[in-house]
Amino acid sequence: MNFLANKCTFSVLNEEVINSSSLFDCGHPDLNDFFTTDCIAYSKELLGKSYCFRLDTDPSVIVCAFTVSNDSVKVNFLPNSRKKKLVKSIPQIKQFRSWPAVLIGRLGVNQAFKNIGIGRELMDFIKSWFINHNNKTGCRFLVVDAYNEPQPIQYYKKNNFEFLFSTEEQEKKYMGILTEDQLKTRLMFFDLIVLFS
Amino acid sequence: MIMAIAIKSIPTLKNTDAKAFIKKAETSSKKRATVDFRKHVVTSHAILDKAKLK
Repeated sequence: MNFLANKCTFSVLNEEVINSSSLFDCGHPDLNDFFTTDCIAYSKELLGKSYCFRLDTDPSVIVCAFTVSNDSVKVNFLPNSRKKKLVKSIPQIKQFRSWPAVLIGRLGVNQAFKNIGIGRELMDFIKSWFINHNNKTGCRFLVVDAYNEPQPIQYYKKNNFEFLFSTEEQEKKYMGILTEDQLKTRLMFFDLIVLFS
Repeated sequence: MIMAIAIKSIPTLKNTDAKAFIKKAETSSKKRATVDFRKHVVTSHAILDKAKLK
């Protein structure tokens, strides 16, 4: 986590930062639009808060940005007979039907800084941030709704995220997407409990 | 380019999907604190100190 720690400064991505920054280009028009305009409205509506890392030598350059929201992973569990069997082996379900999670709503790295490990550093920072002792709320999972394309899926897999649904068919069913239609995003999660801080 | 999109809610998992998820969560619980992340946490503290954000 050297480049972001040593050569950048972390900050909230607010109107002031956006107005003083050069154009952020992560290679995806929707994400660029979001981080240059829409994220302010999201923040004002309390739907998601955006953050960024800016270059120390030129703070007008946003190196990477992301948006996080509170969410949860909820389970509506099994019929009684099966539930009893599972409760025996998995006591936690007695207590938890909903696990606190943080949804990484958007995440992008400036194209000028790709292939130098920024994405990995950023994800390590996000993970660390939510297991930080100063964190004000509990958070068990990081969840992301990733573009269903090789590069982003590979990125999240490399960062040890798993699919929330094992198959695209299952996910389509939950999302009300027709079998013949394309699944544009995949929900993936990372369990923070494995991390030792 | 690394990306994630639409801020949408996570659907409630049911039946076999719920079971599979719980098993994964339980497996992770058994591996609690097995990945040494202290170095990254120290770095994140430094980042937050520099940013004056806690």
